[in-house]
Amino acid sequence: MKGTSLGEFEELVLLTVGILYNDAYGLGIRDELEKQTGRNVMISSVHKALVRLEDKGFLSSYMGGATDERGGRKKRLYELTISGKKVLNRSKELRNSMWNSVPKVVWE
Amino acid sequence: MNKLPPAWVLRFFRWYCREDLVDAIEGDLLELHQRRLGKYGPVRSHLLFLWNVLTMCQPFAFKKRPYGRQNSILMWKNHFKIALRLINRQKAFAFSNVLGLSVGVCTSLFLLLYVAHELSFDNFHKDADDIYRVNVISFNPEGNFYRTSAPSPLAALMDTDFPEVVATTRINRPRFPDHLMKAADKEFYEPLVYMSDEGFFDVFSFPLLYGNAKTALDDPNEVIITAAVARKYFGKTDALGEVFTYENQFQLKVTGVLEDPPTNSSLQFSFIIANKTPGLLYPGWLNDWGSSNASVYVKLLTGAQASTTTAKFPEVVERFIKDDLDKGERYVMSLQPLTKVRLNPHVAPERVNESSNKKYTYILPVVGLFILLIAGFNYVNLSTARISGRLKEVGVRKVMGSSASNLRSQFLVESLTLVLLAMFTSVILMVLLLPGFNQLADKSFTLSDLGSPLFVISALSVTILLGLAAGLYPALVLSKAKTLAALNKGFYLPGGGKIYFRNILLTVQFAVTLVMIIATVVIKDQMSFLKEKPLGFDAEQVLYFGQRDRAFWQESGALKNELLKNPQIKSVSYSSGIPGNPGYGSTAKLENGAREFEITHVMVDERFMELYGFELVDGRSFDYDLEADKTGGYLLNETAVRQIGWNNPLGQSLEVWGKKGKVIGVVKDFHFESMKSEIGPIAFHISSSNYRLVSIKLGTDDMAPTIDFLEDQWSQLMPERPFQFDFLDKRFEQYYEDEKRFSSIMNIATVLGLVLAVSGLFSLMAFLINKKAKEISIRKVLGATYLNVTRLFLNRLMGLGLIASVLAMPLAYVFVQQWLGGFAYRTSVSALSFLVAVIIVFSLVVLTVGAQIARSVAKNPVDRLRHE
Repeated sequence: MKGTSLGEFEELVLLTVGILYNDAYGLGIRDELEKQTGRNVMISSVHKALVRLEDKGFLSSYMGGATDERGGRKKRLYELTISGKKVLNRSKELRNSMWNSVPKVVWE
Repeated sequence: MNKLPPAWVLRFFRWYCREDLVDAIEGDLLELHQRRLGKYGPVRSHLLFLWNVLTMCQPFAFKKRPYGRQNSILMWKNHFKIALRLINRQKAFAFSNVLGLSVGVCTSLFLLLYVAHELSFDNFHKDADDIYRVNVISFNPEGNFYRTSAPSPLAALMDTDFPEVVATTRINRPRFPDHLMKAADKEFYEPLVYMSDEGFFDVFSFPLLYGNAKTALDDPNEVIITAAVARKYFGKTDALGEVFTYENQFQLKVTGVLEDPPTNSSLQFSFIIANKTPGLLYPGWLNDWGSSNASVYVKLLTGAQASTTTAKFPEVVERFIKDDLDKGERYVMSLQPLTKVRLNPHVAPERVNESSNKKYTYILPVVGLFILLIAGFNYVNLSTARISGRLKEVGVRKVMGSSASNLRSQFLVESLTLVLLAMFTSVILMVLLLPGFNQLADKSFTLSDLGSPLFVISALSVTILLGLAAGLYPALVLSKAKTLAALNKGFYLPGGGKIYFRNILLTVQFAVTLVMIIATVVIKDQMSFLKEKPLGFDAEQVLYFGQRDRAFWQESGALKNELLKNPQIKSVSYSSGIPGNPGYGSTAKLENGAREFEITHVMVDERFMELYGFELVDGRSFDYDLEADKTGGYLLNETAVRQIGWNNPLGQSLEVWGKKGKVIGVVKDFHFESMKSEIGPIAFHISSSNYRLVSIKLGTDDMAPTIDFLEDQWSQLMPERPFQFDFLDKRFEQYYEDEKRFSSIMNIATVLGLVLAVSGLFSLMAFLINKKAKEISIRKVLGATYLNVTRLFLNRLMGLGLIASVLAMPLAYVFVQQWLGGFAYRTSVSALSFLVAVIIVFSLVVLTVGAQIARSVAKNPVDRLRHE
């Protein structure tokens, strides 16, 4: 199994999958990411991240319904796995604990 | 309507994308496409879709290979590892291979550099393809005259009357090499002085460092200089407003400083003087249709056909030039693309950079190709010979499940690894050899030329091509080997083709080497012929200088007397021309006016004929006591007499340059110019003016004090001008500079080729003999002598050598004849040079093979035969 570290972009994608809950598929994730971060996101980067995250075991996927505007192609819907949730939690905790260790003076 | 993106884009996407992702990603992309259609319209959306598909084309989306992506990368790694191990195990083999290849690569890269530079000439101008030079050819019964110049008024005419002409400019390049320039307490004779007009920057795009290109040559007494000149005189590049004194006569204000002209410019200059400066050129030159007094360059509208313009030239000739033509003369003007000027052979040789000898531009790459061929064939031969030793490995690999393509890639990787190593060595070699190469090729490449992207790309592609070409044959042969046969017999190879192939390569190597040796020998012959062929006059210890200043010639009589007082000065003579610098051509008329022909006429003083020691074949030399000789005595050379067709030339009447006279003697033919050109008709006559040149014959003692004396005398007479002189024999050597350079390139290339070929043969034979060690031992046991065994190997090689000789000789013959064709006076190609080449090659083969067989034979057969 590959390393379990998370890149910043990967973390954002994971979170977005969480936000979208039942409807997390490639383009939807990109739209949400763009909305949330305000930066331009390439659709290919999103898919790349999704494939890697699935390889790492943080995401699982299943095929969803097809719509007309997609030319009859099905969506691949993603959801967080248990280890995906764990890794998000861990990274949040890490951040929190590091935040807490910054002396108050710094913020003044 | 246009709802779906182009089908081929989708097909491409499906081709690379892995199956489990196709639907999801394609769906996303299509959805995105639909959104965009509404916003941007179809074209932009399609393009964006294509962009999405292209950016998606990354490893994560690729189809998985049957045996897995990871495995394939691992295999490549493994190939590479095996290649490195092989190199490590056979260090000597790898070393000789890499060295040979790097010499080959290095040579070909140098030549690439050379050819690229030659072909890039004048490409740097904006719209270079639309710039032309006007050339003039006049066809005469006596011969054709090619001029790269044209009448000046043509430029103005084209400007006003030819709608397709955007701009024109005239460049006058005075023939003398010593323009006196003074500024800022410094004075130099400058060789590269141009005179031009305000059109210069409309036609050419030499970048100006300082000044305004639009106005720089607009007014009289303006001059543009190069950065190098600015530094030389003023120690800085910003020299705007500085003033030069030209020829002690003109005050020229600097209105522009140019970057030094690039080395690949056919125009090489250090000064451009505004040609409208009064008195600079002869009066009325701007309206003189009668002489080709300037190089005329034109720039046409982008895409305009030169033929449209040339079609109008006959009319111009009809209107302005026809009346001036001689009887039977036909006058044709043509346009020559600027970018082709470099390789045009019809230009006077003294113009710097304008014409390279076209032949050499093509010969050098061929020579480089030869060396590359020898080096590459060495490599192929050695690797194929070694194949047999690796057949077992191939068999085992096949048993372990290796596919043919797998084996192929392995061998290709091996050869590429070697070639890459060779490339690194050759880069080091190039850096080390660059100065030497520059000197040989008369170029000035720098390390940054080696680093230019274009060069790096070509270097890489040469290397990879070479690696592929050299590795392909072994790869193909080996991968086809049958598994069982490979394991069983070890030495078996599919098809009998291998031996033939190797023989062909060997033959080609022999032939190429032979051609190079023959060429080198003939070139050497010709060079020594040039050196040893008597010029027909005495050029030793003759010092000369030209002088245009009238003031000098007024004092020249006194100077001569003063100089002759020095015992180390044997003679001093004034004339309008000297050997190597013939001066004026003119039309000669016979008495009845029935015939006219072109002749070079030289006006001399009383000491000239004696100083140069011309040999008389008929009649007598000038007699200064005879008034008739002074006013109308002519000495002709043999060629002139032959061309006129006189059986008894003495006393015949002749009119040259409007001066009537009689022939008093005939001078044996001598070489007035380089031996590349035929001896032309020459007439000498006495004159007391119109001198241009001073010849001084020195004694054989130490020259330094004499030259000091000359300089001293000079500075008393001409304090305004520095003293400058040349030696005549040096002048004649300069004629053959190109040939000398070429000769040394050929020497080096031949030695290189020979060493490569012999070392290749050496390793090949070492391997083959080693493989046949047992056979040799058994033969020895059975009573074979050393000679018997040697013959075993030599017979075939000699056969190949013979075939190669048969192939090489006609080729070499054609080549040397071509080269010698450039000389009016040349050695005959002797059979000896061919023989020498064959002997050299054969004796080297015998030595290489013989020595190794001797070593092998000397071994005790028992040692070799007892195992088994």
